[in-house]
Amino acid sequence: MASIRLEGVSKAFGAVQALRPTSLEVSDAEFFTFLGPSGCGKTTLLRLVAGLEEPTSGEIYIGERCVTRLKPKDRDLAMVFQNYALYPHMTVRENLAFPLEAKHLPRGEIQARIEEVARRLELAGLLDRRPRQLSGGQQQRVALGRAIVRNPRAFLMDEPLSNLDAKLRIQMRGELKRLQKDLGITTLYVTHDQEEAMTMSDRIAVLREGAVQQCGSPEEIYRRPRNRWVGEFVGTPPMNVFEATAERRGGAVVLRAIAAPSVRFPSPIPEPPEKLLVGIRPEHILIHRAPLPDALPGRVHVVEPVGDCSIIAIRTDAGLVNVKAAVEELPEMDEVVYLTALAGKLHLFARETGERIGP
Amino acid sequence: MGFQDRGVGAALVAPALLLLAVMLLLPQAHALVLSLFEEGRFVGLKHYRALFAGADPVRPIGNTLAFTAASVSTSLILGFGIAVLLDRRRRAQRLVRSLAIAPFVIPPIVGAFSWKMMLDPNFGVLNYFLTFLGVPMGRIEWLSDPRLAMASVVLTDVWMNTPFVMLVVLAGLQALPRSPFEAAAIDGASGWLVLRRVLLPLLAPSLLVAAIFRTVFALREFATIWVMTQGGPVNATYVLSMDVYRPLFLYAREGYSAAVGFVMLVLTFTLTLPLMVRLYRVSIARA
Amino acid sequence: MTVARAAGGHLLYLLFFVWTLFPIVWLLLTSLKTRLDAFSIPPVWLFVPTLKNYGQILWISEVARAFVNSLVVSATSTLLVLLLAVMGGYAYSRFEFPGKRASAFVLLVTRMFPPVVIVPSMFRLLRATGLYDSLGLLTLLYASFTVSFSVWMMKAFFDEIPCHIEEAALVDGYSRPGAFWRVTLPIAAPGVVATAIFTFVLAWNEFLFAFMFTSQRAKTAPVEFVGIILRETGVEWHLMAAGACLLMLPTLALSWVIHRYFVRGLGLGAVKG
Repeated sequence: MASIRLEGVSKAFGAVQALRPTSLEVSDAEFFTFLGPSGCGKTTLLRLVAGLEEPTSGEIYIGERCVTRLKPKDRDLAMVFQNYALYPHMTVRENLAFPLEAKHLPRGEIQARIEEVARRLELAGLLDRRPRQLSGGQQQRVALGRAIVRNPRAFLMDEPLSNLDAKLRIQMRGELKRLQKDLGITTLYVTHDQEEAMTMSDRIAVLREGAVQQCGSPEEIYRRPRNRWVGEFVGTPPMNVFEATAERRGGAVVLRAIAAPSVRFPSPIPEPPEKLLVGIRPEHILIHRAPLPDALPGRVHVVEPVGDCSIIAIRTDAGLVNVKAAVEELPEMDEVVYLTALAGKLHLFARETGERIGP
Repeated sequence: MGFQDRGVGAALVAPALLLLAVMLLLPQAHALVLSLFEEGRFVGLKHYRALFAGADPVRPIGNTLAFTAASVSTSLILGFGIAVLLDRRRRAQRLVRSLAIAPFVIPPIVGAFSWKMMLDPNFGVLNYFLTFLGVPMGRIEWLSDPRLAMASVVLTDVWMNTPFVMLVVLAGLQALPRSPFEAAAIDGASGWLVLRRVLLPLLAPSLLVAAIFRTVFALREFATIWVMTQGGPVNATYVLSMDVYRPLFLYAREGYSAAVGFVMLVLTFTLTLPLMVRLYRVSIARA
Repeated sequence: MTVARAAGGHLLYLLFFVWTLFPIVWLLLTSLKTRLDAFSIPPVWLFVPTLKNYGQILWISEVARAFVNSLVVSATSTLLVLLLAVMGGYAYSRFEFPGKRASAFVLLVTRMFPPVVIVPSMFRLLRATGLYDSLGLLTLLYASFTVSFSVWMMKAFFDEIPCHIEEAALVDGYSRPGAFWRVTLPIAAPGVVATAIFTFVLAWNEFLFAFMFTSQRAKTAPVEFVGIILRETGVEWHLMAAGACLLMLPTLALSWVIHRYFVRGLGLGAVKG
C-alpha cells in the first residue's frame, strides 16, 4: 500500500551497464509491468527495488521513505520468484508462516492469517505437505500465498507464471489480476511475455538494453508505440515495417514504399520527412483476390489458422508481410493476392532514429 | 547473488587457509630447507644425489614406482571392468555401492591385517585353498619370499582400492548420454567396437580422474605395507614413505628424510598437475 | 546363448563379491572363534561363535585407552573441520572476494600433498616444543589434512542450493545470518552430515601421523593395534581379529549411512562437467 518511485536509478555490473539511469513512479495499488526481452534489465530493476542489488546511482522511494540503503528485510516487500524459491525443508504451512515469524507476530495471528490465505488460494488441503510433493501450479500458489500472507507494502513478481503450462498460465493470469485488485497492493511485475503484460497491467514500461523505451497503458503502447522497436516487440505477429519516401502529389502527401514503388499510402500527417519508416500491424492489412490500384501484390508463403483468425505470410517486393485476417475463404499457398492497408492505421517512424513521427 | 562484501567472504575462508598454512605449507617449506642441510651444514643436493644414485642397495624410488604402476593399472582395469559389467543393473549396483565399498572405507591397516592373516604360509586360508584346488605349489611364502612380497602387497592394495575406481567409473557411466550407444547399436557396431570407439573415449575423463587419484595415493602408501612387511623382506617392499620414516626415526638423518619427502611431493605433482588444472577450470574458473 | 551369457554375468558378480567381501567376512569369523579354531587348517567353518575375544582384547595393554584417544581425536578434529568447512564452503559458493581463485587453487592442490612430507620438519618442531605425543597436536594435524576436501565438499552442497531461496528469506524479513541459519544451513544439513562422516572416517582410519607423532599418551587405536600385530611373540589371531573388527565396524556403519554421497565426497563430481 504504497507508491514506488525511482529517481535516476542505474546499475552496472563491472563494465556491463545493466540498467541506465531510470526514473519512474508507480502509484499506489497499481499493477505495473516491466516488459522486455531477456537481458533488458527488467529483473535487475526488480531486484534493485527488492534490495537484493545495490544501485550504482539514484534513489528508490517506497511511499515517502527513501529505501535505497535499506536491507531487503527492512523494506517490507514480498517477492515471488520465477522458480518460486519455496523453502524445501519446510511444509507449506511453515513456508507461509516464515515471513510472519520474522515480524514476531503472535502465534494466534500467524495461524489466522495462514488460514485466510489458504482459503483464498485453495491451499487448505496442502498445508502439511512439502514443496516437492506439490505440482507446479500448487507450488506457484504457495509462492503467491507466501507473498500475500504478510500484507506487504508492495508485491514484486519476477516472471511468476513462466514455469506453468500454457493453459494454467492463462488461468492464473486472470486469478492474479483479480487478486491484486481485491487486495489493492501495489505490484511490480516482470515478464518477457507481452500478452501477459497487455492483459494484466495497468501500466507497462517496455525495456530494452537497460533503458525504458516507453511507459504507458497497454493500449497506449499498442496504439502509439513510441519507436519502431516497441512497435515490433509488442504485438504478434510483429508489426510490418517498410522504408518509404514521402512525395507531394497534387494537394496530398503520399508515402511510397521504396522496395515496391507501386504501393502508395496517403500520409496521415501533413509534413512528413522525405525518407521514413512506415509500420502497419498485421491486423490492419486487407487481402484482396483481385488486383487493385495502389495495392501491393504478393504470393502467399504460408497460412497458419489460429482458430478465430489466420496468420498469413505473404512474399512481396517489400519483403515478407504478415497479415492477420479473419478471411472466410483462406487463400491457397502460392496464390497471388493484393494487399492494402486500413486507412488511418499507419505508424510513422524516423528512418535514422526509429522514433515515432506524428500523433 | 549480490554478495559483494569482500571482507565477509575473505573472513570466512581465512581460518581454513590459516590452518593449512601453519600445519602444511610452512612445515613443507621448512622441509625443503632441511633437505639441503646435514647436521647444521649446508650440503646442497647431497641427499638428493644419495637417493637417486642408490649408493644404498635399497631402491625406494624403484620400489615405489613398481608398486604404483602395478597397483594402479590393475585396479583400473578391474574397477573399469566391474563397473561396465554392473552398468544398467540397478539392483546389483545398489548392493555394490553399499557393500562393495567396504574394502575402501575400512582402515587400511585392518585390510592389511586381514590379508596378512590369509597369506600366512602355515595357517593362512589362501594356501589352504590353493592346496584344496590342487595347485601343486606347496607352502607359498607370500610375504617372506622377496620375489613374492611386492606382488602380495600389490594384491592387497588392489583389493582395497578397486571399489574406488569402480565408483568413479560408475558415476561417469551414469552421466553418459544414452544416444551414442543407441546410435552405435543401430549402426550395427559390435560390442568390442562400441567399447573402443564410443565407451572408452566418453569415459576418458572419469578414468583419468580415477587414475590420477589412485596414483597420488599409491605413491604415498605407507600403512598397508608397514603392517604386512615393514618394507621387507630384504627391502623388497621398502618404498619412499618408509625412506622418510626410517632414516629419520632410526638414524636421525633429518636432511635425507626431508629430501625424500620432497621428491615424493615433486613426483606427485608432476603426475597430477594436469588433473589439478582441469579440476580448477571446471570448478572454480567457471564461477 | 543369452542364458549362458546371463549365467556368465552372474558368475562374475559372484566372484567379484567373494573377492571383495571375503577378507572382511573372514576377519569377522575369526574374531568369533576360539584360539584353536582360528589356527586350524583346514579352516573351521561351523563353530560356536563367542564374543569373548572382544572382551579380552580391550583389556590388553592400552587398547581401551587407545580407542578412547581415537574417538576423542576424530570427533574433535571433525567438529573443528566442520566449522571451518561450513564457513569456507559457504564463502566459496556465495561470495566474491580478493584472492578467491588463488586460494581455492591452493586448497585443491594441498589435497594432493603426501602427508609424510611434513614429518621431518614437524618432528623436529614437536621435539623442540614438547608437543610430541599430544592429542591436541594430532587433532590439529588431522584437521589440516581433511580441511581442504571438506571445504570443497561443503561448497558443492551449497552450490546446489539456489540463491533464490536465500534471497526469498532476505525479502521475507531476515538478515543474511538469519537467512543462513533458518534456510541455507537446514537445507544443506545432509551435506553437513556427509562431510562430518567423511572427515571422521578419515581421521579414525589415519595411521601415519599417529604412528610417527605419538608414543604413549596419545596413541590411537590403529597405532596400538599395529603395535600388537607386529609384536613377534604370541600371535593371537582371534584377539587381533576382534580388535580389527572394533576398528572397522564404526567406519563401515558410518560410510554405509552416506554411501550415496561417496563419489561427490571424493570431490569427483566437479569433474563430470
